[in-house]
Order: sequence, then structure tokens, then C-alpha cells
Amino acid sequence: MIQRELRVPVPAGRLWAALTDPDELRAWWGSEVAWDLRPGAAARFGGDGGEPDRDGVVAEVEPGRLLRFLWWPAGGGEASEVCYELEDEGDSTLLRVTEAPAAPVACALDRWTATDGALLGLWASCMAGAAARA
Amino acid sequence: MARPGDDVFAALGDPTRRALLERLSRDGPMTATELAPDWPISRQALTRHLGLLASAGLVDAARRGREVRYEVVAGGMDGAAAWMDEVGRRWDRRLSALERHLLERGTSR
Repeated sequence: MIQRELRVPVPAGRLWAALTDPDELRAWWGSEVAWDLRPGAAARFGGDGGEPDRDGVVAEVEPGRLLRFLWWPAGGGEASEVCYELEDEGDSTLLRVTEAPAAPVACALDRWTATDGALLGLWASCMAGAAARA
Repeated sequence: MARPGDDVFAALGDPTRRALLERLSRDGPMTATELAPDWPISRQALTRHLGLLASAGLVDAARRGREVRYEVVAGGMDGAAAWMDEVGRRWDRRLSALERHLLERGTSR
């Protein structure tokens, strides 16, 4: 799965607002995001950076700490699970974002070892091995 | 952009299967008998893992007499790698924008 981290010099509450408030999102996401932060509630994400609009559903919410949701291209398509995890460091906050193909695959993926870093390293090994024997 | 089938990611999600793939890519095609000494799992579990890798198109299973020999399919991960690359880049872009937004706005909210 994709895993990215960002450390920002703001408190967790500030980061949470930026990630979830539609007015904030309009400023940096670049389009309209509409959602209700309750498990099972629908979500709608305007396309960003040339990406299509997405529909989604909120899966898990721990205000200020964790937000997990599913999303898929509006009108149909394969679903992914996105997770925001916020680690409060006082004056700064560490944000971890992961995106993985949706369950049941998400269940099969070990969040911390099946990262894109590890998988792309493995891919490089497979290619190198094949080249060495060619 | 089409996403690779769930079976590829499900196959790659397991650390034993990733290690098997790593071993086969490093040492070339091997049978389950040849692999078994280095894997402290039952033969049944080993062949099940290898079977999942084969179903996902990550290894090719070819019968050699009474045994099956497993060989890495070099391009088997291409689709998965491309997807990870693409989605990773999207998040890099989004997080840059988020960071800029937070630094510009300051902490005054």
C-alpha cells in the first residue's frame, strides 16, 4: 500500500481541521469536499489535480487522531481505503497517510510492512534477477 | 488508469510470499522441495503460498517430471508498481499543497 508521512509545525487540532473542514479543503485540496464525519456517512470529493470526482464512505473516525474512509471514482470504479493518522507531538504533528485497494485486500495487507517502499524494492529485485539470468 | 487485480496485491500482502518472490528472483527457478529447507512452515502451506503467487501471475509454475518448478515472472509486478507509483505521486502532490496551506495560514485558527 502507499504510505506517506508529513510532519507539520502545527498542533494536531489545526491539522485535523485542515484535513476535514470543507472551507479548509477548498483552499488546498482545490475543490469541494462534502462529508459527515460519522462511520457509514457518504462523502463526495471534487477532483483534484486532474483527478476525477470521487464518491466515498467514512469508515472510522477518532477526532483529532484518525480518519479512515473508502473512495472510488464517481459513477463507479475500484475502491481504495485511505487512512489519515495524526500523531500529536505538541507543537508539531506527524501525519501518516496510507492508501490501499479496499478490503478484502486491505485486510490482507500488513499496514506497516507491505508498504510501497518495500514492494517497489522487491519489484527492483525481480527485474534485476531476470536481467542477470537473461 | 486500470488498477491491477486484487489478487496481485493480496499475493504481495503476505511477508512469506514476498520473501519467496525475493528468493526466486535472486536464485532462479526452484521447486518446493528445494525451497522447503529454508521455510519453517508445512509443505502444504509452502505450496499454497506458491500457488497464490502463480494465480496472481507473479510466478510461473511449470511441471518438471514429478515436481513443479516455480519461476518469477519478471513483469508480473509491473501493473502493481505503476499503480503504487501513480497513487504515491498523487499523495506527494496533495501533501505538498497541505503543507504550503498550513505554513501560509500560520497557527492562528
